[in-house]
Amino acid sequence: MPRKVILDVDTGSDDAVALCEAVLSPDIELVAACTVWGNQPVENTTDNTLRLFDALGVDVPVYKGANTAMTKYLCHDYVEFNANKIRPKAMKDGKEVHMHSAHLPIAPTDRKPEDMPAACFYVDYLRHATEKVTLIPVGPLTNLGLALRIAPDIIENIEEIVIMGGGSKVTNADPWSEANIMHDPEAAQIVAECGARVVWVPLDATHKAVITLDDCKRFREIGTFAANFCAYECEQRIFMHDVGQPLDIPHSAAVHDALCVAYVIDPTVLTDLRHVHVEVGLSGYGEGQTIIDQRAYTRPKNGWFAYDGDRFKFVDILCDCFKRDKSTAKVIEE
Amino acid sequence: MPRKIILDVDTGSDDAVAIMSAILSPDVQLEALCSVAGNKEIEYTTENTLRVVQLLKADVPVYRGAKYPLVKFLCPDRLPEDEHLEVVHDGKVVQMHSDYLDIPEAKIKEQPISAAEFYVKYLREAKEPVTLVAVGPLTNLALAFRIDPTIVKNIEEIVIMGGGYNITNCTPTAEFNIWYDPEAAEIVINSGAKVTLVPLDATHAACITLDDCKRFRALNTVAGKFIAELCEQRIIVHNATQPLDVPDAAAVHDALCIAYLIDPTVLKDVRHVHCNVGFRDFCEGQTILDMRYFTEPANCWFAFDGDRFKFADILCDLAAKSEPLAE
Repeated sequence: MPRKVILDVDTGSDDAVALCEAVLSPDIELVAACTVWGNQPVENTTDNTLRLFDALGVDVPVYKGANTAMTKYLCHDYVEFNANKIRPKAMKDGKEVHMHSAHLPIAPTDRKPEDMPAACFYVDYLRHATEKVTLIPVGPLTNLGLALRIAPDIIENIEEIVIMGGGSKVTNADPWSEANIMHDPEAAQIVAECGARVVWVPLDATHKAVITLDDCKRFREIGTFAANFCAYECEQRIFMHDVGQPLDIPHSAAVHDALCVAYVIDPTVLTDLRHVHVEVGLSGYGEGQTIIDQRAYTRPKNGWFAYDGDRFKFVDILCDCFKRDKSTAKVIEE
Repeated sequence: MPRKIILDVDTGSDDAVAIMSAILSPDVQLEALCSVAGNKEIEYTTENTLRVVQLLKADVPVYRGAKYPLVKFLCPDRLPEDEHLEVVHDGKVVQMHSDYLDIPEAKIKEQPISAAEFYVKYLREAKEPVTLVAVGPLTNLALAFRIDPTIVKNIEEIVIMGGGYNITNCTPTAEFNIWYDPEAAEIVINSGAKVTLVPLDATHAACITLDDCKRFRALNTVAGKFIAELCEQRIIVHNATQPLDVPDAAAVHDALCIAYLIDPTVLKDVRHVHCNVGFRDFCEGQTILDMRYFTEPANCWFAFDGDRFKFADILCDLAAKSEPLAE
């Protein structure tokens, strides 16, 4: 029986790979996608998600979510703190390249998101669910944070929450934080402590289970739309990684969000998964940090945190999914 | 035409007076009640709200709201301390708000969706603007604004009981409703709607006295009697913990917001100001007003004074409309 899944995305290049994987995997029944701000404004992440579903020829409902953090940007000091960050600029053929393009390189769509906002959908769906569902949030956790504040009881129908976010020894947005958690630390802390089973897929795992240029060649050999499209996105990410955050393996990229979906398909893709107490730093230096209680007498354990991942297994899972694509869509390269 | 309102309450003694006022006033059409955690936990404030609706035999839907503030309790250093002074009167402990209001248990039921969901749905579909009166912590409204900020287009005005400039109550800098969920208050005040703050500066000026309670009681109506009881309870606690300028008097904060809708002149010295809410440390929950000459853009109306005689008359008028007490 395929597992029922709701993906929460800020599509986004690696989100797009995760969506392809979830749509194509026979082990997953994708109930809905919720969108959120993060990699791009929520208008873009929603449109990108709709485009991709159109390209894949699936009719999964899309619920538009929050356009800012629950509370973080209410304070001037947070805003200024974030404005002063230094980001490396990546140029290719005279043009600036980004980790996430504003629009995915596929045909535009007329499809619109559902009327109900994402947080309301979570509450409504989970309160009426007759079987448990797995949630895979791979952007800022704002929608789930709001839903859990509206109705904390919805955890009863959650099988598992698989979060792409955080990092113990590896960070990206700040010296101490990963971007998804940095964007809405309060929402992340609400989810961390909500009482459902929580699995963290942090940078420690995603920077191990990388995708290489050789893997992209394998995707292209498969030749389906999903394979070509994901190869394109991964190649763009590899370019960005080489410029801004080179990994141990040369010419490779983390494709964070897709690793969460791979874990739901085959849990052994995450290696060294430890049951720990996780809490999130909420202000100053440490804002957005996933703090792991390493002490012998730890605070109550509230999550599973992945310290490593299997890159070969990850690629095999992706290839398996991409082979199943029957769509006729095309990648529109600039 | 009566003004459509939604009332957001943490019932609560003065909330009960506000609910009765809204139900009884011909100038106000009470569309719904939303409960929130604040004076008491959400289980109590929801049940108490239902009890008041039932007491007046009103047909108003009640939506259960947030159990916790938006983010405040996430930090161990921001958890509330229980440091209330115990007031003993005639050998009994008297609280500003009893756990349960001393009226029959509710047989009517709350609605199947939560308060924040209701706000989003109602305001998206509203054909005409509605006035929101929020007299507890602002959690429900903040959740709704974060879910869909465009709902502001159908809000005529948001009247908030909360804050204080020269007067505070739960800390040296803060009034309780704002202090309980400061982030939510900041979101609502800056939502873009017309916001009127009814702070302690106004509610302590427009107080209700023991003499006023006699007037309410003499009406011999269901609401008159219950309002008198609630106000007398509040006067006992005020006398012991926060005596007002007028002897034997109590602030009945939340009801003043409803009185303002019936007659805006019950608030006096209402100034258009810029307000931010303090989030941390000593100014957590403070309503900080920009009093500089070159102020930041005004974002709300702040009432510095109130007319206690007018307020008592309004309450009396409303309580008179309630059904007579059974023999």
